[in-house]
Amino acid sequence: MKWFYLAWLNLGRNRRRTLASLVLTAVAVLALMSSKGFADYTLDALRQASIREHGHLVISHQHYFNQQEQQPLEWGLENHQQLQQQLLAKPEVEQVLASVRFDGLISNGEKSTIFLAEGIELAAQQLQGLQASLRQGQLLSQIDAQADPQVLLGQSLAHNLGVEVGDYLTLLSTTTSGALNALDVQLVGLVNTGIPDVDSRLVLTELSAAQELLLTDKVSKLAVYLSHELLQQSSQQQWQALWPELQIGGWQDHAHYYHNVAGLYERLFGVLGLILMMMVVFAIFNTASMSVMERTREIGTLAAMGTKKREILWLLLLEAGFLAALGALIGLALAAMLSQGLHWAQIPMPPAPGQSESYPLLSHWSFSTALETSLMLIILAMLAALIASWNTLKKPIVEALNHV
Amino acid sequence: MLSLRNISKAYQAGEQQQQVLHQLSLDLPQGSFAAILGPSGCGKSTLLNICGLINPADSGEIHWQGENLNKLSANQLSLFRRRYLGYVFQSYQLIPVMSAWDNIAYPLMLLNTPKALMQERVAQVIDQVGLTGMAHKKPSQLSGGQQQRVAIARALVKQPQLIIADEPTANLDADTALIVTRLLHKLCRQYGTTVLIATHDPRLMPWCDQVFHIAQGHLERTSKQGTDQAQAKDQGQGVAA
Ligand SMILES: Nc1ncnc2c1ncn2[C@@H]1O[C@H](COP(=O)(O)OP(=O)(O)OP(=O)(O)O)[C@@H](O)[C@H]1O
Ligand SMILES: [Mg+2]
Repeated sequence: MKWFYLAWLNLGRNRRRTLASLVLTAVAVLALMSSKGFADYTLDALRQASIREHGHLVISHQHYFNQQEQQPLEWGLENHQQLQQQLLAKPEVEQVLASVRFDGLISNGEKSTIFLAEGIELAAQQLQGLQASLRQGQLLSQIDAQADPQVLLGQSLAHNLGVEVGDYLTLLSTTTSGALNALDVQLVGLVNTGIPDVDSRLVLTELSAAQELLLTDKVSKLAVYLSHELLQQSSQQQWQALWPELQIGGWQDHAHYYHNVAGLYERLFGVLGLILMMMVVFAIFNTASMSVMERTREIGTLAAMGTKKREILWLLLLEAGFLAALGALIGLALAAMLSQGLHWAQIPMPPAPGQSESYPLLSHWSFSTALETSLMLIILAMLAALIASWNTLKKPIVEALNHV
Repeated sequence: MLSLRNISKAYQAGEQQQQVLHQLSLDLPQGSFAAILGPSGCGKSTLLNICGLINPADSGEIHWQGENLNKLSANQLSLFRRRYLGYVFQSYQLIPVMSAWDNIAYPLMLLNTPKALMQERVAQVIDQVGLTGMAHKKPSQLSGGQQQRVAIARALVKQPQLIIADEPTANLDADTALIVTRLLHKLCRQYGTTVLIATHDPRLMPWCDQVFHIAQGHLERTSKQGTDQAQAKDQGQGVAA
């Protein structure tokens, strides 16, 4: 207790120097916290989006993802409706959506180009957040049997073909038996996924229309949405045991973009964190060295009065620890304020790599990051102080007392 | 009883070796009030630092109450100083960030003295050295003489068995010097504290049981005449010449 009091007194010794170290520590913590907070926020948003897109679990034929198909849907799922019923009967399952992936040529009558299409269930549009990326027209809707099937096109694909919402188009593709088939469709809406390469090829249509074009009742895969994310692993294991002939994977196996961004951020913030930490540790080392040098006589006095070297060392470490803790506390408070401020300001950020949509600049204030950063800083600061005070503590008492 | 046996101490000054203390011996019975005299640079502080266990001698032995202190480890020496020793340094050596009160209380803090007792003792000793009302001041806000008195109070506060004082009256006016000397003397008599003082100050002489001179690294005992006179005088009128 007495050492805490003394350490506290000593921080007031050279106010300007203490303040400088505090500001530096606080700024570094602010920078660390808010950049990490921003990365956390972005990654979390990206994770949510990936889960919406893929479902928590993806069920497919065991060869679908790892072998080339000779014909469309060679590795598709048969009897998918029955499987869907079985899955939906499980309490942990919220929703099961089937989809068909196919490709071919799309034509406006004069010009044709390659498309990559997905046949989806209407419910998927809401769940996957398609309305957020709808730029013109409307989403796919229930139609009667006589009407032409509806499609959504990527904005740049529509632009490329020179078509508008309401226009008619023809999809050409190979059926599951290898024959050529055509389907007239009506363009009802334009979407923008945020990924230019996807938007220049993307066609979305209703599942039954896709199956009609490919002359099949198979689907490519089922996306399963669970009631809670935590159930993912246990469900995956149970179901894999139940249906060994199927491949059951998590969203992580398909969210390559997520992993790329996560990897990039990790490296980026690893380096940034290292640099900032080194800066702070160097500053504290500097402060501690100067303060210990100046106090050589006092250290001698304390020792002469019967203070053990161990106790003096503890005092010096406490001072450095205090300084770091106080600086970190200020930095954390500033980071929390910044996080709130950004929340109100809603500043748009330039699009992420490979994306064309901007998103708001937000920064999560995370308790675990705060704790990690502070603890790390305090420990490093104490280590720095240990090194800084070593030589002075080794001095004989009389020499320290007569130090000028 | 503090005994030094054949203490030698030399300093290396460049190529040359300067023998400051040479085969010096000293016996101070418990409760004695002793002064060491000598010209500047003769080795008074050196001897006091050796007695105060903050500077090891090159050779020779130190005994305290019959125990050989040469055998103690650095940690044990720390504890010994903490428990038994009060030190008044030649240049005060107060801690600048601590108030006079905190400076004086520090030795009691080291001994984990209960708060109430600590407050009582500190208040008492502050009163005794005449610093009442100055307790909250930092050393930089005190005059040299006041700092000297804080340093003395810091040595007295734990009522140690041995007080070592290097020029304790050097910066004090006659009245304060007398008060401080009388206080040290009283402590010496009341608690049986052994007091060892290095000084140039002739005003101190009459109080001493023993007066030594350092010459050529040896200690020479001077007559202890006058001591009894001064004490008689003090009891008589309370002011020494
Ligand atoms: N650390 C040291 N290194 C080298 N020589 C030293 C050291 N300390 C003291 N000396 C020398 O030893 C001698 C005795 O010094 P000391 O400080 O004991 O003298 P003193 O009697 O206390 O003098 P003063 O009355 O001026 O305080 C001096 O000549 C001094 O130069
Ligand atoms: Mg001296």
